[in-house]
Amino acid sequence: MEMKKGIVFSLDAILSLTIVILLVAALLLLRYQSLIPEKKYEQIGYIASDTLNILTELKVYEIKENPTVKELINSKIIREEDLNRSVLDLIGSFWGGKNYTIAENITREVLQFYNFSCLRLDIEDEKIYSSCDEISGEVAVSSMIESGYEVGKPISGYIARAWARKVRKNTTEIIPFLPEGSGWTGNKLIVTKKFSLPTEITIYNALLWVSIHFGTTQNQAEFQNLKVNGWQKKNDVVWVYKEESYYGTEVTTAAYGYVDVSKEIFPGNNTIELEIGTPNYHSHIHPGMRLVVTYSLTQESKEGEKIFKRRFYFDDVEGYSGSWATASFFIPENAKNVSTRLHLNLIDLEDTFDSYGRNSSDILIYVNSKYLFFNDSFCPDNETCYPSCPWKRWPYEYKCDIKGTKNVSLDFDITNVTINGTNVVSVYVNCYGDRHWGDKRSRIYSDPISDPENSSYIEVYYELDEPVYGYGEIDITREMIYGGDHSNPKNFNFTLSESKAKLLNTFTHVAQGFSCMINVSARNSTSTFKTVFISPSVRAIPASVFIEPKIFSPGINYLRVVDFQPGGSLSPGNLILNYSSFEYTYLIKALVGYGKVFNTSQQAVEDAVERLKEQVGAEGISVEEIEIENKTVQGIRYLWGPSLFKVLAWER
Amino acid sequence: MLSKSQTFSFEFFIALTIFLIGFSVLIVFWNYTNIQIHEKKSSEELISVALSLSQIFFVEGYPKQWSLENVKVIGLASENRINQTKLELLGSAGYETTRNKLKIDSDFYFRIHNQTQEFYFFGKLPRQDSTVVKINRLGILNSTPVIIEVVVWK
Repeated sequence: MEMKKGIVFSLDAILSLTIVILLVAALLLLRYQSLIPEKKYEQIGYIASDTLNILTELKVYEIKENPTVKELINSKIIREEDLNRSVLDLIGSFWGGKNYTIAENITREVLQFYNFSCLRLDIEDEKIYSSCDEISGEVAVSSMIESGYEVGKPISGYIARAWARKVRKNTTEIIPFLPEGSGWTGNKLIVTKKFSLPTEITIYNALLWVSIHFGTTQNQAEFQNLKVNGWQKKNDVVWVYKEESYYGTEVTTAAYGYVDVSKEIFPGNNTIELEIGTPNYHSHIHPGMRLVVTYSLTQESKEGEKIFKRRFYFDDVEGYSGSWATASFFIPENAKNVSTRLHLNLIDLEDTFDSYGRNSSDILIYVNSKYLFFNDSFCPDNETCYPSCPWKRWPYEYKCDIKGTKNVSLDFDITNVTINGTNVVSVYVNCYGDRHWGDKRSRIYSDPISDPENSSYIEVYYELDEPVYGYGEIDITREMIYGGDHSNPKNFNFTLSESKAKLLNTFTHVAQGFSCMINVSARNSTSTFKTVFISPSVRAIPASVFIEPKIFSPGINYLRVVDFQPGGSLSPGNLILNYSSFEYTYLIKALVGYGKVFNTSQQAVEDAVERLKEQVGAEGISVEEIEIENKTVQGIRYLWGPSLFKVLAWER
Repeated sequence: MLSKSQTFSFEFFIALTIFLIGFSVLIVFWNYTNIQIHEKKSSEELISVALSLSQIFFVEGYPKQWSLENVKVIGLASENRINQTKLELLGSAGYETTRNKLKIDSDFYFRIHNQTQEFYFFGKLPRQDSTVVKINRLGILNSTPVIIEVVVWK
């Protein structure tokens, strides 16, 4: 009985309890899911977007009584024109200017009116201001992208740009002497170089580099004249390199030196006369003889040329006997419609006949080749064209039958044999190389000043797609001496700055004592060496080797010059002298664009003029006439940003 | 018989007592939950009303320059700021008219203030026993950042 009672009680109670628990559980499970947290989040979201709206809409003048802004106005950091900017713009501006504390204080003073929720302003995920130390709970975010003015920069005013109509620049002009001379036993060689410098210049310096081969045995010394505009300068030459060569009892010297002719060279027309000789050898000018003149010049701003027609004149070469000259000229890589013409006026050349009675060639012309371009009469071969005459005198003088003298004027179209880059034209009269077969005077006539049409010259015509430089660009030429040791090969490197990166023309002037043939190559810091010139024949060494400017770039650039024999081997004794030089012409912009915005037109103009003077002044250019353009502007945005602003809000 | 009758009465009594207690608890809990649900629903509705109502401070209304005669949609903003003139128009319209125009059943009041002063009040204060919901919005009134307090009650 006892046992039964217990069972009934427990079963009923447990059933009842189970039913109640199930009902309670059902109530709990089915209880109402409240949306209040979402609604609260919605409200916080409104606070975030309202805050951003306040910062965007509120103007600086409306918070000018806030302590930070007030102080900035008093200290004139915030100016009148800043007052109409939005507060967010102001905050971003100071933040962009790394004035973080100012940006934070401005934000705090605007937002401190509301402290029921936590507010924080971020820019690009960096905190500008937060009213609470830490973020907790649900956070609502409102964001926008904004950019704006820099503080202190006006949003309207005057701007100006300027360009130079006329400048005074310091530049360098290099007037090379051609490798040229007389035939063997040329007792006397007279080279007359006539040239013109601009008339309106002030010459600061004129240095004549002298590179000659002449007799120096004491009783044969024949350095008779080096006259610069009539002034005798032969005793003023400072010889810096000499190399002697012995031919029996005769000593000849390849000598390199310089003489200051600053006082003897003038604006306008100039004449330099060189008279040297050697009884048994032949005297001539070696590579590297050049006049380097540095002067200031007034230049009007104008667009560069697209069509080029220029003459490269020969020097007047008068040899006793025989005369020769290697002229050079260049054609840019991108030249179109190229035409070239060679005009020669040869005077008193002797009309020679060989042992077989054949009229021998007295005139040999080579154009970019070791083979003859022209010979006036019989030649046994098309290369050296030595006449078959009996030997006359040791070692290489041959006695041809001379039947009078003649003057010859020649005109050739050499377009077909012209190449892009450096061209060489060698002219030999009554001689070739180490031989001659004339007797008295032979002259390659040239007087570009007084008689240009009858002078000997190469006339070059070509066109370019674009002018070589634009309006407002000024060309400046400079020269760099190789330096280092004399050597073969000779390596030269130089650093080209960014300001001189726009190169117009580049040349190298190779200076040598003895020479044969040269190979010139160049590269920049990233490219490989590119050959820019190879002598086509012996003695075909240009006075100026043209190098395409595009080879060079800002940074370190390299040149390599090698003297080699016709078979290709290195000429160990033919050194490239360290007085060789690199000539480069670069362009400077003599104009400045619109600059800062100023409150007055005068301030904008003064700023433009100052910027222009500073820009060209760095290159030694002074501005003589300036053209100004100024105008008023509105709404110029001085950029900070665009930046992403975020307002974060959460419950305290 | 006696022992059966005793058993029935005692056990039944105990079981019934337990059941009644449990049932009572259930009823009380049911009632409590219902009240809670009702209150929450009521609060939610009021919050929704308050949030909707608060938007009138951020819209211009229709027409934009409305008057009491032509207003179709009440809005108290102009150029992203609270317009003082429109606030005054609302005051002129009176509470009941405004409530009708706004088409809300609940009562409400607006209070515009910052930390130091109150700039504007409109509406009816809640009774002691009413369900009250308050939300805050932020805006600009007369060049001053302000807190817009919107209270809705029933």
